[in-house]
Order: sequence, then structure tokens, then C-alpha cells
Amino acid sequence: MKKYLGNKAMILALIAPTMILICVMVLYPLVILFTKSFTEWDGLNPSTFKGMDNYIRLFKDPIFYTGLQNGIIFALVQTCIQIPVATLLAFAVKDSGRFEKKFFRITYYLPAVLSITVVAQLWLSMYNAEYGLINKIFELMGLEYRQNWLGDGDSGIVAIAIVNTWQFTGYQFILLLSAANSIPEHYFEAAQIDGCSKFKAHLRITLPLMQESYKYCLIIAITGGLNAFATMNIMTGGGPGTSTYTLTYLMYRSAFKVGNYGYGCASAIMLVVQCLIVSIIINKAVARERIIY
Amino acid sequence: MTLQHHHRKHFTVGTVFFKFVLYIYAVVNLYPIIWMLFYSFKDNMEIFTTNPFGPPQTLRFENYVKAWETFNLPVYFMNSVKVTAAVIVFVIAFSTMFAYATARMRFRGQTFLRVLTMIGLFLPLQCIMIPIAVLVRDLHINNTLWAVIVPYTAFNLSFSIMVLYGYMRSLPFELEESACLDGASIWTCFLRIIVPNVKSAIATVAIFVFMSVWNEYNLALILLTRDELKTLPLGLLFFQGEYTTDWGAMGATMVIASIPTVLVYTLFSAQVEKAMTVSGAVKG
Amino acid sequence: MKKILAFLLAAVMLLSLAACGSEPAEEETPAPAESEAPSGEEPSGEEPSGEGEHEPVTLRVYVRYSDDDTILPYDYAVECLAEDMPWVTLELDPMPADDGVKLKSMVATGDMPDIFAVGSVDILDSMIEAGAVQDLTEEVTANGFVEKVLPAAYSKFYDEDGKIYTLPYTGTEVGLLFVNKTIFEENSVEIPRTIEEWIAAAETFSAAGITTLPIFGKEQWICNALYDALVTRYIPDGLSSLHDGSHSIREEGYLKAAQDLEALAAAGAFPDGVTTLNYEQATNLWYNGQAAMFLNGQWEIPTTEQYLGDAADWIPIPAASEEEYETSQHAFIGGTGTPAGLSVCTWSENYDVAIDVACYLAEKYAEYNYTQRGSTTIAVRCDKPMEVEQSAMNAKLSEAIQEATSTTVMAGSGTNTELYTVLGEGTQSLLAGVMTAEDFIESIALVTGD
Repeated sequence: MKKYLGNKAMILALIAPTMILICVMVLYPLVILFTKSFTEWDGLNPSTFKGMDNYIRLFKDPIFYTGLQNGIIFALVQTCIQIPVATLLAFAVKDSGRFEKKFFRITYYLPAVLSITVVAQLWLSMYNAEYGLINKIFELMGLEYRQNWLGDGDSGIVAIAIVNTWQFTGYQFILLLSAANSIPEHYFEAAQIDGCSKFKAHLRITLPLMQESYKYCLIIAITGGLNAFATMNIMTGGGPGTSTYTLTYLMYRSAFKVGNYGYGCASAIMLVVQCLIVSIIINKAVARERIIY
Repeated sequence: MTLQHHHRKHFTVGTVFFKFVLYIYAVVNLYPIIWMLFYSFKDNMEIFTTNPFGPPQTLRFENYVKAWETFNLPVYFMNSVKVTAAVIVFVIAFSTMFAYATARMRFRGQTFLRVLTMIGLFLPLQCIMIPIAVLVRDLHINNTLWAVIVPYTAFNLSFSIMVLYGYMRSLPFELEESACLDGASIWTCFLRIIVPNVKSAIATVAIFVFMSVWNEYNLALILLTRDELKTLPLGLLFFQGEYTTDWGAMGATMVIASIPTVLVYTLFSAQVEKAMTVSGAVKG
Repeated sequence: MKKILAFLLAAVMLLSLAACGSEPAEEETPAPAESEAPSGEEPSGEEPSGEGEHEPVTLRVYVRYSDDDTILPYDYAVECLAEDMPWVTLELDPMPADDGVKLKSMVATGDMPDIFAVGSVDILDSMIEAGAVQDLTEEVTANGFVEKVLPAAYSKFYDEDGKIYTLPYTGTEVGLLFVNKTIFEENSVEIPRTIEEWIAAAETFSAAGITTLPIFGKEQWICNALYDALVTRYIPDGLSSLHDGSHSIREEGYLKAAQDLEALAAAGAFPDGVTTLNYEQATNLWYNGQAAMFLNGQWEIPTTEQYLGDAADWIPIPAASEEEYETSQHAFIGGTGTPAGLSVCTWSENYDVAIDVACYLAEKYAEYNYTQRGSTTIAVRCDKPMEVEQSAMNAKLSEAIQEATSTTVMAGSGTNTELYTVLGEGTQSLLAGVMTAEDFIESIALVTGD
């Protein structure tokens, strides 16, 4: 058996295509990014080596800390809402009737199918301080809570994070649903004999068995949050001022608006390191043991 | 039996409320599509000021006419189809193979390699676009559709491997053991036993890859400079001016671009359902 | 390079095939022989520079080509080109608002269009260094374009060292503060002559539920333009002089202008959520007569007139004090540029043709704006008569600009792109009220090193 699963030629054949593509298209650009992060570069012409200058500047740059903080807020909002909601939806749909199953499965995923442009545009109208639906709802509820959701430095980032969270909850929902569906029925039968309610059965049986799926759901939610760019690019353009910048935004700003590509590379490297650490921690902490069913 | 009956009755109010919430949430999720449809028939004035949420006051079909006439929609559409199809095939093939090797076979450094592939998940695209463009030229695949197929495949592998790895890790080892005893080669074992067992995961991944490739804009913008190679999202460019944007025509383009995604998802999710019942039956 | 050549050849062949397609089918077979004909003809008599020598050329043109403002003039130019240079075919590729990302990557890969628009000094400098563009002085002198460029566009035409890299197709336009006179009359508010009156007017309008100035603050350049307008009341050079260091951000005028901006924001001059307000939303308010004032470049005149007619006018930017009204009323914002316009790629296979075509496009672009839109702020001289009646606001501007005492580079752009970016972020923060005037000055000082 050991020989069977340790077949060198076979392993090589299986991993080669992926490794070639990853090396050429992911790791090689990463190496460029890394080397250029120590230089002054305009993105086109030969660069000049500057040592740690970019990194030293980065740690003094207030926008770096804004970006870092916003990335963390974004990741937190995304993770704390998406994972529980997606779990709840997945369990509910799993236990629904045939028609409902189909209906929910399609509708819950729909926002993720649409392009970010559409969704961001819709939410811009919803958040609009003058005629937006959200302020109207508060008005209807008789609350004097008119808010300038996106124009305010503090609420802006949360408001944007919620849009992204909502759009891609369907994503997590589908992942968790197919994970829940692939758990063999006999586990539930056993639970039923024990007299568990459905909810309890899920809590005690399904959830622990789905750890492997939670692992990648978590990684997607967190790294996606730290990396956020597209939604705020459309909704606020990073504004007002720099208040909804993320590290990705800082990188874009440095590389293309300010024309300092090397500095942009340095913030990109910080971002990759951050995401890598998070992923490794999740990998180590969640589903350490193989769960086999 | 009686106990169960009692149970159900006890939870009726809660269950009904929960169902209600589920339906409300479904409606909330349906609205953007409807909104986009409304939007595609409006002009800028209606979209932004007079009527941002309701149905259009007059149906402006000219938005669709404009979308159809301004750029070569059939060509863009076919390019999107070709690129998406190719990427899905490559991603599924390569990631299944890689996930199998790292999840079930044994060799030194398998965790390291797997973590390495994960970098593709969070490599900030905006910063590597120029290096990628240069790379694509050096590989002599510029000015062909391969210019986007290759990078798309690479960037979608990470996610796909992560999901498939998770599924493969949960399969019992007896699968290989019995295959080994039966004298099947490991390749046969992979294709005939493992792949059918992760069918539903493959279908899920295929849907995700489809969505991400179909809607991709940034890389396509940089890498496809010839009109005859452009993909559908690039059609939006024709309506975004320096100072003004024709949002209605953009809406029409987005509706046209979204129809296939909605269709594919609706059809595919039925397939996923089927695939799962089959694999469930095998396991059960 | 080979691939590009092969592609160009293929494109030419495709085009000639397409041309054949419109002819009767029988003629399709002799077509290849025909295409060989010119080379055979050459030695037989005609001069090398003669008409018969023009081989069909396809040029890729990468420009802003996405709304009526840009599509109409280019379509006009292409139409004219089909008559004047029928052997040239243009492939127009629309340029997105992507901060030059695509242009940069095209330079990096060498897969450049033949003609492209460039607006940022930063990218232009990189391209000159990379050898993608070079001095065009010789060529544009030879083809007579130099003499056609109007002095008002020289700042866009000549680089700091006097070289020519860009062929301007629009003039150096000024920013204007528009007013809706009807709204002022209805609310019995005087049109402000001083900043103080402006703030008071904003308070009155705000109380009446009317938007004073719907600025499309999602775009940072217009936030800069407004700040620039206020700065010119104290320092006529506005933000331009920060770039070359001839003025320091620590000068009192900059702080005062920032405080004025703060005061305007506090008086409710701008709509809620101004920093997410896009151009469409802002102009909807303005065109519908729901806003008292508007700020934009002079290109806003035709549409404004179309919607508001005589009710609209533009006014001098309110002065710092009543005494200074006379002296500062002719200090304009905008009106000076940095090198910008069409450029030609050095690596073009048809470099010389491309230069001629680029000059031609710039000329026709200006011609369209002059003859069809009645704009007098154009870059290239136009001898044809104006086909539309010049509007009142345009006529007033043509006169006023003669008396201009000072101009600025539009919206604080210039050679220091970092300064421009930080200014944009800062002025937007001031508008949103998330930054104080003092902090704003400090954030700029960090960049300028004052």
C-alpha cells in the first residue's frame, strides 16, 4: 500500500501541470513583486535598488495603518456574517422539500452570479443619503436615524463590507450545502434513533463532520476580506479621502496613481504575507485530523 | 412515532417563522436581478434620481439596440464561451490530479506544495498585471485567447485545489486498498474510484470557475488588446466615458452577459443535485 | 515583433478581402494579382511620393472613445479621413478610466497602438524614458501642424524642455462656476460676490431644502478644482505653484481656502453623501433646476444651456472680500495644461503615416468642436465657419478670457503626481467633513516637505 500511494512517477505526473502553471503564473510574478519591493520603479523602466526604504516608509505611512485596519474590519464582518448565515441556510435547505430545495438553492446564489458592478451600483442607491431605501426604512420605523452611510469615515468600510458579504454569502452557502449533502445518511438515522431534534443533530453531527469545508470557507472569507478592492473601488473609490482604503487599494494607488510601483510592491508583499499567515494558521487549527466518513 | 409527532407540533410556530425568513431572504436575493432588468430599460435620470428602485416608466429598448450596435457582441460572446470552457476543463483536470496527489498519496513536502498553491488565492492582481502581461508576451501567447486562458487557469487552480483537497481527504482509505488488492493501477483507481466519488465537488467547483472567468474584467482588459479577441465584460468599456457614463446601455450589456450565468447555474445546480444523489447512493 | 507584423499583414489582407467582398464575386480571383500590381507599377514611371504609392495602412488608435463627448468628434474625424486619406483604416480602441494601467502594460509588452491619447505627465515621462515616444518636432514642423496649433494650447503641446511629444486635440479649458439665476431670484438670494456671501447663500438654500452646489465629489479632481478656485482668491496661481515649489503650502492663503471649504460644507452647500455623488447624479440635480450652482469645466456649457436655457449663467468665483472683487474676478481656474493629447508610438510600423494621421485627427477633433459645438477653446486653428450659433455663455467666456489675469493647471494636477493624489484625497475629506483644514495642510506638507 505504501508503495502504491508513494508511486513517484505517478505523483510527478499528477502534480506537474499544476506546479508548472503555479510556478510560472503565480510564483514568478510574486518573486518579481518581492524583488521590486526593494526598489524605486515606475513599472516600465529599469529600477534602482533602495534597500529597505519602501518598507521603512510603509511603516510610517498612515494610509498603511488605515488599510490594515480596514482590511481586518472587512475580513471580520465578512467572516462573522457569512459563515453563520451560510451554515443556517445550508441546513435549512438540506431539510427542505424538493421544490423549496431547488428554489432556495438558486435564489440564494444569484447575487454571486451577478457582476460586482451591478451589485455595487444597487447598494449605492440603497445607501444613498437622500433617497436611499435604508434611510427610508429607518424613517418608516419612526427612527430619527438618517445616516450618511458611505460618506462617513467610520461607517463607510462596514457598509461596503456588508455589500460584499451579502453578495458572496451564496458562495459559502453552496460550498457548505454540498458538504452537508455529501455526509452519508446513516449518521442522521443514528441521531434520529437517539431522539435528537434536527437542529441538535446538525449541531452534533453535521458541523463537526464539515470541518474540512469550514477550513476553506474561512480561508476564502478572511483572505477575501483582507484583499478587498473591487467593491470599494466602485462604491467609494477609497473615499472620502483615504478612509475606505485597504492594502490592495494602497498598492493600486502607489503603483498607478502616484507612479511609485516599487512602493506598491512593498504593500503587496505585506498583504501576501498577512494572508499567508492567516491561511497557515487556519490550516493548522481547523480539521487537523482527517475526518473520514 | 407519537414522540416524533409531538416533537413536530411543538416546533410549528418556530418552523413557520423560520420558513418565512427563508422566503424573505430569497426575495431579497432575487431583487438584484429584477433591479438589473429594470435598470437596463432606464436612462441616467431615472436610474439615479427620479426612479432608482421601481420598474421603468418607459421601456427604453434603445439601450439594448445600443449594446448590440456599439460593439461586436456575437464575437465577444463567443470568445467568452471559448475562454470559459477551456479554463473549466483545464482547472478541473489539473486540480483534481493535484488534489489527489496531495490528499491521498504520500510524498515529502506535500503540505508545502499545497500551501504554495494557495498563494494564488490572494496574490493581489492589480500589482502583478504588468509582469503578467510581459510574461504572456514572452510565452508567445499574446494576441491569442491563450493569453487569458493560461493565467485564468493558474489563478483558479488555488481555490479548486483547496475544495477538492477537502473532499478527497474525507474519503475512506479502503477505497484505494481494495483497488490495490484488485490489482488496479493507481491511475485507474484515481479515474474510476476517486473521481466519481467527488463528482459533486467537481460540479460545484466548475460552477465557481465559470462565474469567476465569465465575469473577469481586469486581466482581460490588459491582456486582450485586439477587438476580435475581447470577451464580454470588455463591452462595458464602450459606455464609460471620461465624464459621463451611459448606465442604461451598461445595464443592457450586463443583462445580456448575465443571462448565460443564470442559465448555466440553474441547469448546473440540477446536475449537482443529481450527482450528489448518485454518490450518496453509492456511499449509503 | 514578428507576430505583430504577421498580424498587421493578416489585418491588411482581411481588409482587402472585405473590400473585395463588396465587389462582384467574379473579381475575387484576380484580387491577389491586383495587390501585387503597385510594386510592379513602381519602377514603371510614377514618382515614389506619388499617389499610387499609398499602400493600405491600418492604424490602431487607443483613445477616449466612450461617450458622445468623445465619440462624435472622432467619428467625424474618421469620416473626413475616409475622404482625405482613403488608404488609411483606423481601429478605434476605447480607453478606460484605469489610471493608465493598460497603457503602461502595453508599453511594457511593446504591443503598442500606433496612436494613443496621453494625459498624465507621469506616464508620458515613463514612456519617453522607455523609448515608446520621442520628440515629434521635426515631423510636425514638416507637415505644418506646428503652425496650426493655437497659442492657448501651447502648454499642452510643448514639454518643459520645448520638445513636442503630444498633439493636443482639445484646448486648455477653464473651470467655471455656474449659477441658476431663477433659483436665486425665487429665493431672493443675491448672486454671491464674496465667499462670505456664498456661505450665507448656502445657509439660506440649505434651510429652504435646496442644494447649493451638487459637486460630483466621487471624482477627486473636481474636489481639487473647487479648492483650487478658493485658493485663487488668495493666491492667483492656485495649486499649480505647489508643484514647482514656488509657493509653500504653509502660506496663509492655502489654509484660508481650506477653511472656506470647511465653512461651505458646514453651511450645507453640498448634498449629503457628496463623496459618493457621481457625475450623473450631480448633473441630474443641476439640469433639473434643483441646484443653485454647479462647478465644472467649460465643456459643461452646451448641455447646461440645453436644459436650463437663459436661467443659467457663469459667474466669477466669489472674492475673498468686496474690495478684491474687481481685481480677482479675472483670475481663472484651469486654462493651463501639462503636455497632453495624441501621441504616436515610436515602434509603430507606420510611424510617419501615424504622425500625419494623428495631426489630422487632432485637427478634425478641434474642427468638430468649433463648427458643431461652438466651442472657441480649441487646440488647433479652424478656418471653417461655426455652424451653430455661439451661445451666450460661450460668447461671454470668449470675451472674459481675453482679460484673464491668471490661470492655473486644471484641478491641481501637474508634475508631482503624488501631490496631486494627496490633494485629491485631502480636498475630498474636507468636503465630507472628515478632516480639518489644519490637518489637511499638514497632510500636504508631508508630501511637499514644507
